[in-house]
Amino acid sequence: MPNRPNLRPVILVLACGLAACASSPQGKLRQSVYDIDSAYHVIAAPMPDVMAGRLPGVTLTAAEKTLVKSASQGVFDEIASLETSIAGGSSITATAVSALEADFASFETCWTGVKAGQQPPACAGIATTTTTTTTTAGN
Amino acid sequence: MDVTEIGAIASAASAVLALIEKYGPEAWATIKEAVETTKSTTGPTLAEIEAIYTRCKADNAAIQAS
Repeated sequence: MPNRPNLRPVILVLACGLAACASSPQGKLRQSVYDIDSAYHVIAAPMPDVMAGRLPGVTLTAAEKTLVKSASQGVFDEIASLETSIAGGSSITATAVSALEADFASFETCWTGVKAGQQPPACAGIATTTTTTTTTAGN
Repeated sequence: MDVTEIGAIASAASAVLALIEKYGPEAWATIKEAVETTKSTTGPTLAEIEAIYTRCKADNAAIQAS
Protein backbone atom coordinates (compact mmCIF):
# COMPACT_ATOMS: atom_id res chain seq x y z
CA MET A 1 0.00 0.00 0.00
CA PRO A 2 1.51 3.37 -0.97
CA ASN A 3 2.53 5.75 1.73
CA ARG A 4 -0.03 8.54 1.59
CA PRO A 5 -0.39 11.80 3.49
CA ASN A 6 -1.81 11.74 6.99
CA LEU A 7 -5.39 12.94 7.20
CA ARG A 8 -5.11 14.52 10.61
CA PRO A 9 -4.00 18.04 9.51
CA VAL A 10 -7.00 18.27 7.20
CA ILE A 11 -9.32 16.99 9.89
CA LEU A 12 -8.03 19.55 12.35
CA VAL A 13 -8.59 22.30 9.80
CA LEU A 14 -12.16 21.11 9.36
CA ALA A 15 -12.83 20.62 13.05
CA CYS A 16 -11.15 23.73 14.39
CA GLY A 17 -10.61 26.31 11.65
CA LEU A 18 -14.02 26.26 10.07
CA ALA A 19 -15.76 26.19 13.43
CA ALA A 20 -14.76 29.78 14.04
CA CYS A 21 -17.02 31.03 11.25
CA ALA A 22 -20.30 30.70 13.10
CA SER A 23 -20.89 33.68 15.36
CA SER A 24 -22.86 32.39 18.37
CA PRO A 25 -21.37 29.96 20.90
CA GLN A 26 -23.95 27.30 20.06
CA GLY A 27 -23.43 27.98 16.35
CA LYS A 28 -19.72 27.34 16.77
CA LEU A 29 -20.31 24.15 18.70
CA ARG A 30 -22.80 22.92 16.13
CA GLN A 31 -20.31 23.74 13.38
CA SER A 32 -17.71 21.67 15.23
CA VAL A 33 -20.11 18.75 15.52
CA TYR A 34 -20.95 19.04 11.84
CA ASP A 35 -17.29 19.12 10.85
CA ILE A 36 -16.41 16.10 12.96
CA ASP A 37 -19.43 14.24 11.62
CA SER A 38 -18.18 15.03 8.12
CA ALA A 39 -14.69 13.81 8.95
CA TYR A 40 -16.07 10.63 10.52
CA HIS A 41 -18.11 9.99 7.38
CA VAL A 42 -15.05 10.45 5.15
CA ILE A 43 -13.02 7.95 7.17
CA ALA A 44 -15.78 5.47 8.00
CA ALA A 45 -17.40 5.17 4.55
CA PRO A 46 -14.63 3.01 3.00
CA MET A 47 -14.10 0.90 6.13
CA PRO A 48 -16.51 -1.93 5.23
CA ASP A 49 -14.71 -2.47 1.93
CA VAL A 50 -11.34 -2.53 3.69
CA MET A 51 -12.65 -4.88 6.37
CA ALA A 52 -13.98 -7.17 3.63
CA GLY A 53 -10.49 -7.43 2.15
CA ARG A 54 -11.26 -5.43 -0.97
CA LEU A 55 -8.26 -3.12 -0.52
CA PRO A 56 -5.23 -4.88 -2.02
CA GLY A 57 -2.51 -5.56 0.50
CA VAL A 58 -4.69 -5.03 3.58
CA THR A 59 -6.15 -7.97 5.49
CA LEU A 60 -7.60 -7.41 8.94
CA THR A 61 -7.74 -10.14 11.55
CA ALA A 62 -10.91 -10.88 13.48
CA ALA A 63 -9.39 -9.11 16.49
CA GLU A 64 -8.63 -6.01 14.43
CA LYS A 65 -12.15 -5.97 13.02
CA THR A 66 -13.54 -6.17 16.54
CA LEU A 67 -11.31 -3.28 17.54
CA VAL A 68 -12.47 -1.15 14.62
CA LYS A 69 -16.12 -1.93 15.30
CA SER A 70 -15.75 -1.02 18.96
CA ALA A 71 -13.92 2.22 18.18
CA SER A 72 -16.45 3.22 15.53
CA GLN A 73 -19.36 2.50 17.85
CA GLY A 74 -17.76 4.57 20.59
CA VAL A 75 -17.37 7.61 18.37
CA PHE A 76 -20.81 7.16 16.83
CA ASP A 77 -22.46 6.96 20.25
CA GLU A 78 -21.06 10.41 21.02
CA ILE A 79 -22.21 11.73 17.66
CA ALA A 80 -25.68 10.31 18.30
CA SER A 81 -25.85 11.86 21.77
CA LEU A 82 -25.02 15.30 20.43
CA GLU A 83 -27.43 14.86 17.52
CA THR A 84 -30.22 13.99 19.95
CA SER A 85 -29.56 17.16 21.94
CA ILE A 86 -29.42 19.35 18.85
CA ALA A 87 -32.55 17.83 17.30
CA GLY A 88 -34.38 18.21 20.60
CA GLY A 89 -33.58 21.91 20.81
CA SER A 90 -31.21 21.48 23.74
CA SER A 91 -27.92 23.28 23.97
CA ILE A 92 -24.72 21.28 23.72
CA THR A 93 -21.67 21.76 25.87
CA ALA A 94 -18.13 22.55 24.85
CA THR A 95 -17.04 19.66 27.07
CA ALA A 96 -19.10 17.17 25.11
CA VAL A 97 -17.85 18.51 21.79
CA SER A 98 -14.24 18.41 23.04
CA ALA A 99 -14.73 14.79 24.10
CA LEU A 100 -15.99 13.96 20.62
CA GLU A 101 -13.02 15.76 19.04
CA ALA A 102 -10.56 13.85 21.22
CA ASP A 103 -12.15 10.49 20.55
CA PHE A 104 -12.37 11.20 16.85
CA ALA A 105 -8.62 11.92 16.83
CA SER A 106 -8.05 8.57 18.58
CA PHE A 107 -10.37 6.89 16.09
CA GLU A 108 -8.39 8.27 13.16
CA THR A 109 -5.12 7.17 14.77
CA CYS A 110 -6.63 3.76 15.49
CA TRP A 111 -7.82 3.27 11.93
CA THR A 112 -4.53 4.42 10.40
CA GLY A 113 -2.63 2.03 12.67
CA VAL A 114 -4.90 -0.94 12.01
CA LYS A 115 -4.50 -0.52 8.27
CA ALA A 116 -0.73 -0.54 8.81
CA GLY A 117 -0.98 -3.84 10.68
CA GLN A 118 -0.82 -2.43 14.17
CA GLN A 119 -3.23 -2.14 17.07
CA PRO A 120 -2.49 1.30 18.54
CA PRO A 121 -3.49 1.96 22.15
CA ALA A 122 -5.74 4.69 20.73
CA CYS A 123 -8.20 1.99 19.63
CA ALA A 124 -8.88 0.62 23.08
CA GLY A 125 -9.98 3.66 25.04
CA ILE A 126 -12.70 4.98 22.77
CA ALA A 127 -15.55 2.57 23.36
CA THR A 128 -16.02 3.32 27.05
CA THR A 129 -16.26 7.09 26.66
CA THR A 130 -19.60 8.70 27.42
CA THR A 131 -20.87 12.12 26.52
CA THR A 132 -22.61 14.56 28.82
CA THR A 133 -24.97 17.09 27.34
CA THR A 134 -27.12 19.69 29.00
CA THR A 135 -30.88 19.70 28.88
CA THR A 136 -31.19 23.45 28.65
CA ALA A 137 -33.77 24.32 26.04
CA GLY A 138 -33.38 27.12 23.58
CA ASN A 139 -30.93 28.75 21.25
CA MET B 1 -3.47 38.68 -3.11
CA ASP B 2 0.07 38.42 -1.78
CA VAL B 3 2.53 35.53 -1.72
CA THR B 4 1.45 34.42 1.75
CA GLU B 5 -2.20 34.21 0.74
CA ILE B 6 -1.36 32.31 -2.42
CA GLY B 7 0.79 29.93 -0.41
CA ALA B 8 -2.00 29.29 2.09
CA ILE B 9 -4.51 28.59 -0.67
CA ALA B 10 -2.08 26.25 -2.45
CA SER B 11 -1.40 24.43 0.81
CA ALA B 12 -5.10 23.97 1.50
CA ALA B 13 -5.69 22.79 -2.05
CA SER B 14 -2.90 20.23 -1.70
CA ALA B 15 -4.39 18.95 1.52
CA VAL B 16 -7.81 18.55 -0.09
CA LEU B 17 -6.31 16.75 -3.08
CA ALA B 18 -4.44 14.39 -0.74
CA LEU B 19 -7.68 13.66 1.08
CA ILE B 20 -9.50 12.93 -2.17
CA GLU B 21 -6.64 10.69 -3.30
CA LYS B 22 -6.80 8.76 -0.06
CA TYR B 23 -10.55 8.46 0.38
CA GLY B 24 -11.99 8.91 -3.11
CA PRO B 25 -14.28 11.42 -4.85
CA GLU B 26 -16.99 11.09 -2.21
CA ALA B 27 -14.63 12.80 0.24
CA TRP B 28 -14.71 15.89 -1.92
CA ALA B 29 -18.49 16.14 -1.76
CA THR B 30 -18.40 15.91 2.03
CA ILE B 31 -15.66 18.51 2.38
CA LYS B 32 -17.46 20.83 -0.03
CA GLU B 33 -20.63 20.58 2.03
CA ALA B 34 -18.71 21.24 5.24
CA VAL B 35 -17.11 24.34 3.77
CA GLU B 36 -20.44 25.58 2.45
CA THR B 37 -22.01 25.47 5.90
CA THR B 38 -19.47 28.03 7.06
CA LYS B 39 -20.97 30.64 4.74
CA SER B 40 -23.68 31.10 7.34
CA THR B 41 -22.80 33.00 10.49
CA THR B 42 -25.27 30.85 12.44
CA GLY B 43 -23.58 27.55 11.64
CA PRO B 44 -25.16 24.53 9.99
CA THR B 45 -28.91 24.16 9.99
CA LEU B 46 -30.69 21.35 11.81
CA ALA B 47 -31.48 19.75 8.45
CA GLU B 48 -27.79 19.82 7.49
CA ILE B 49 -26.77 18.27 10.80
CA GLU B 50 -29.45 15.59 10.48
CA ALA B 51 -28.32 14.82 6.93
CA ILE B 52 -24.69 14.22 7.89
CA TYR B 53 -25.83 12.33 10.99
CA THR B 54 -27.85 9.97 8.78
CA ARG B 55 -24.72 9.26 6.75
CA CYS B 56 -22.69 8.59 9.89
CA LYS B 57 -25.39 6.25 11.18
CA ALA B 58 -25.31 4.28 7.93
CA ASP B 59 -21.49 4.17 8.01
CA ASN B 60 -21.41 2.79 11.54
CA ALA B 61 -24.14 0.26 10.77
CA ALA B 62 -22.16 -0.98 7.78
CA ILE B 63 -19.02 -1.27 9.91
CA GLN B 64 -20.84 -3.20 12.61
CA ALA B 65 -22.22 -5.56 9.95
CA SER B 66 -18.76 -6.20 8.47
